[in-house]
Amino acid sequence: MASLKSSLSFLAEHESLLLALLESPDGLTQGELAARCVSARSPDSSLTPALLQRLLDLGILEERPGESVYLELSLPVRTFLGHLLRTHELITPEAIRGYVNELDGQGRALGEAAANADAQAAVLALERMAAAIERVRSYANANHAAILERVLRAKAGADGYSVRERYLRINALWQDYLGPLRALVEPGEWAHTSFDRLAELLGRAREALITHGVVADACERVRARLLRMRTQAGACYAEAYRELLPLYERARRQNLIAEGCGRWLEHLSRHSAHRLAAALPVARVSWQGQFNDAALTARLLALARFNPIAPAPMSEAAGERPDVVSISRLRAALAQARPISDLLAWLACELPQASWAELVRAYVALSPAGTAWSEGGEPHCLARPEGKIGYRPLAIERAT
Amino acid sequence: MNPEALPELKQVFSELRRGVHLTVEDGALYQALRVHEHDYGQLFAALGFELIHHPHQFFYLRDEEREHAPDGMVQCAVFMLILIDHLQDQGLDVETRLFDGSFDLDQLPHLKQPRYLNYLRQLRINDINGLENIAQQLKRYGFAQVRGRELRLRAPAMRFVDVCLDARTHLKSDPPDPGASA
Repeated sequence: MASLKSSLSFLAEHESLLLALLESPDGLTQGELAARCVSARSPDSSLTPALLQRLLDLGILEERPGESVYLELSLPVRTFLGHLLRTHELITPEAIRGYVNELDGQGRALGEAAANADAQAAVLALERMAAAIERVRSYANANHAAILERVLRAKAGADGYSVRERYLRINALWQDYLGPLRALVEPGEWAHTSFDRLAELLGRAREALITHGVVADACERVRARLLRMRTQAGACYAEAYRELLPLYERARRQNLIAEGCGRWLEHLSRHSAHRLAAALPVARVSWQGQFNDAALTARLLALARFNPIAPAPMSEAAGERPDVVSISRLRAALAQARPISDLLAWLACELPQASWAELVRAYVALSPAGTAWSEGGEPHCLARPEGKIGYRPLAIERAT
Repeated sequence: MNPEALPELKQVFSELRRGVHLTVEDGALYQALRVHEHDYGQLFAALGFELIHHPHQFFYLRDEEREHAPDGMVQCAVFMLILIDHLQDQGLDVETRLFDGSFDLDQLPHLKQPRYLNYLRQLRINDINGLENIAQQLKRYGFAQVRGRELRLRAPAMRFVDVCLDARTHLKSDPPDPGASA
């Protein structure tokens, strides 16, 4: 096994090669790698077969599965270099959820161990818990750093994306990466609830295993780790939220503008300009008629001084009721009463107070349409307070 | 306040009824509206119009009764939509770019891309003269300033950004028009 010192020295000697691979998550071919090294003009510029073999032997490089022509950094080296260079990759929610589930499982194991006073099982569960907590802490920090890095790049406009692409990426940051951070710190969220449960369980296990001093201390240490992780995750979330929120809102608005613009233009290309004119909510003011200044002033003054007067209330007193005749009521009454020999005389009986105008209106409304009738006979005369009229009677026959 | 006593009434009325948008750059007219917004609002409401004070600090009259935007306004809208589409294609912050600088009429993308030309042809705009006419329309409504070959958008051009933001509302139930030409 190579010593740490020699391994680190070896890595340092081939920095440009490692950086080239770190920037290429999909790996590079030997040719590409050799070209990058040459262009870097560093002392390690030549990628000899011996050097390549050594890198593979040390597990620094790996061949891409199924494509031996491609070389990539092994995951532990990539993670190590990312940590040193602060180039964090985003951690998926599933990865964080996996470790939280692991904590739940180990919590149950610790509970059982405490119930059975099984110190060895408790120690094992506590070790696994500590590892999972540290992993979650590391992921929270990594996501926080990765989010800030991407926010800075987007703010500088250096991401090279279109409005739509930028929105999708920021939205993914918001939904997929800030979400898990929120789950770690907000009460009621799945991870937060798990951590509460775990803290309580660690306290109970410590009490139960107090006679096993080392185990009780281990419970306390794990609880301290849990507390540190939660505190750091809280700070990470708060800062990432503060940085990402304005960017997210901006990108969302920009995306809405782009999408809306596309819709309008698509509408124009599918339809006519006339249809666009009908749909556009930017109609100009239209003014019917021409106002000169004097007319305008007069109109404005009239409007300003206009004081509407409410009409007098209708009276219910006899003789003062509004002179309105209900045709539908009369039609129903007529249907019951026919046959009748003289419609106007019948109406005069039905509407003794009605004016001539109302009487004639009712007569016209009831006379011909849809009703069997016959006209003829001697002239008649009808006298009312308003005067007299002569007419020939109109008979309404029974319906056939 | 008696409507007759409203400051700048004649000029404000004359401008707004023509569809002009008044901004802080319009000095006394804007200030008169700003200070007496309520009274002006009541006055125009009595005449059947709604005085709008946009959050981006400009005033205009809205007439809900009017069914169609006039040709000049449609031309302005299509011009702005093309500009917005172009800016967002470049990955630029549309609002910032629209209002933080000016545009050279000869460098506009409108006549340089076939897709944009197709849109403009529907408005019978085919060349730079047509584009210059639209620039004058933008100026007439108070959406822009035009100095020589330089077009600088004013705050009221935000209305076209609003049009984009509200597209879903206005085009939601839009049925296809089988007789329309693409």
